[in-house]
Amino acid sequence: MGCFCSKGVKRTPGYEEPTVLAAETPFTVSEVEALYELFKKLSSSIIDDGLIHKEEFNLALFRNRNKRNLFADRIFDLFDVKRNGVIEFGEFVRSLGVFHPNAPIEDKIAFAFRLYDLRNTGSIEQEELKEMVLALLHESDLVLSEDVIETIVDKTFSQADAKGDGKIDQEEWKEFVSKNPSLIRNMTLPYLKDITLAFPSFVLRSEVEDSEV
Amino acid sequence: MNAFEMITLSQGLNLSSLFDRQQDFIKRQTRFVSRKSAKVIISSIEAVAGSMGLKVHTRNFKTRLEGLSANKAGQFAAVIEVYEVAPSLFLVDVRKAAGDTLDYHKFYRSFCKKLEHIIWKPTESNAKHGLLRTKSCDS
Repeated sequence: MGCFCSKGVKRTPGYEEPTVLAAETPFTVSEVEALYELFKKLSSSIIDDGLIHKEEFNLALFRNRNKRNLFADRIFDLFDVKRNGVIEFGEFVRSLGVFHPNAPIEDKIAFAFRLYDLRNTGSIEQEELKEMVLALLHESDLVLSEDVIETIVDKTFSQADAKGDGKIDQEEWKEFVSKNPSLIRNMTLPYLKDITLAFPSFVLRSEVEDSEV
Repeated sequence: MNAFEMITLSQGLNLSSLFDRQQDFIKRQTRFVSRKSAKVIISSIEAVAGSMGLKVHTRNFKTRLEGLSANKAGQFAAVIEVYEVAPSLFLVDVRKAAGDTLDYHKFYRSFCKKLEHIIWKPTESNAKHGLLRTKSCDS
């Protein structure tokens, strides 16, 4: 194999070439390179091994490495495609790709579904929805009575569970989201389109690296 | 308010913090509960924001506040949304849209002080009736 891919830099497991990642995600090569800068920063914050550990993820998201949060855990698990307990660079870029403004909406809807399917059963059960509502209230330091919570969960569930079988499957979820598009508003990060602006120094550096080879 | 909508308020689902370069520990999402009507909540918010020198723009229970940062060097903006969680119970979600997080926190503290009349802080007796219990507005 030609050595265009070896710049004499040691690469950690899970690293994939920006050209490959750009071809398979909505990102351009420069955007992937900018994401690599971000990845390096996040993955070295506690353990400098080129991999994002759960604590490093929590640190980045909450500025608190020990924060316990159901939703952050779900995101981490979904990003950790290989399920080896860490987020590698390739996984990072591919998962963030779903959040790109240009990513297909079907991908966003599917990702959200898997996010909320807490026990990975293939459907969202009422208990899972209730668990998530409780998690949100806890996070906000708000406590509502059992009755109010049941009312909220029942009402939402009956709206979404069109077949009335006690669980929300992918089809029902898609239908529900199409009626309530704000449900997937977190699934788009407009910032991703301007990511190269946030890491301009890298763009300069990569030009230098090319000439060094 | 739809339960799934409520869930989207979580900071854990807001990945934009991954890109934030500030190292502060301050929460950028804050919310409180009110038992006043939605109309009263919105008009109170608008009045207070106006008195704080902010430009106000409301549409469909969503209010955007804009102004200059404390040192007049940058923009400051916050977005407020009012959600009906249950009959006569509204969740007001306030979040920073632009500007310095420290500025935002100062703004939020002062904002809440002026809105005390609409923020619901239950007393022991109605907390016992299991209605609602919440920490103070600036938690």
